[in-house]
Amino acid sequence: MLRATDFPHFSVRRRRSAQQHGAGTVVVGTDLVWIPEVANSVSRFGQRYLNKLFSVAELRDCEGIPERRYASLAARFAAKEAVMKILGLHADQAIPWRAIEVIRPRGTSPSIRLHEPAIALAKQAGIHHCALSMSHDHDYATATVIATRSLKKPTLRCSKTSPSSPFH
Amino acid sequence: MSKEKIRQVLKEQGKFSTDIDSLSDDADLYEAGMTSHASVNVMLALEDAFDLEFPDRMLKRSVFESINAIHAAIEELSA
Repeated sequence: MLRATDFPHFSVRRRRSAQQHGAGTVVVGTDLVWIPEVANSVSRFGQRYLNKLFSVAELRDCEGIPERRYASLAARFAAKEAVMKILGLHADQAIPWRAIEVIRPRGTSPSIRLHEPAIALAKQAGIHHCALSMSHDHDYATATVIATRSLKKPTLRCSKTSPSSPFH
Repeated sequence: MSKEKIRQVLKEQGKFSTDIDSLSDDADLYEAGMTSHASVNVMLALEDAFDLEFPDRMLKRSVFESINAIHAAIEELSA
């Protein structure tokens, strides 16, 4: 059986991560969405549904290819739910879906940007870096988020001038 | 009356695998099969049915977890 110590580069990286963020764990969140349900919601509730869940930038990112619009929206909703799972919310903690945003700057992979109150909840949970992957096939869209969680004082990067914070 | 109206919204939007009429007012709706996405539809349909808007502070699981919880939230917003 191979061990982490069999890979010197991996060991170095793991030590650096521990120095930067303290000993921690990796947490995973995932969610699956039935795409026709998103299409039905858009048909039933229109812009009110879209504005409740998605930022202007997210809606713009989903406009590219009409046939893929609902799949893209469904994948983003799955990403928001996956982040909520990582944050480990209590039933009484409120968080609007727009506080978790999927961003996709031109030419880059999609990633997560948090806004308040999600930033505060991530700090509270000790969540640091996170990586996002989204996919869809036929009627289903899915998203998986992997993040590191510190066991000591959290140090999530936050901008002092902006209410939002890159989550990576 | 309003609990019946809530049940009607749940029937139409909750995507339950079980009959909503078999659930008690304090039954956990998520345990009964309501998905997070279905809860969005339930919330928007409740806004239509009761002519109100759920503020961000109410976008939490506990507000939508049972008929009683939804009823209490609507009572608060209608007061």
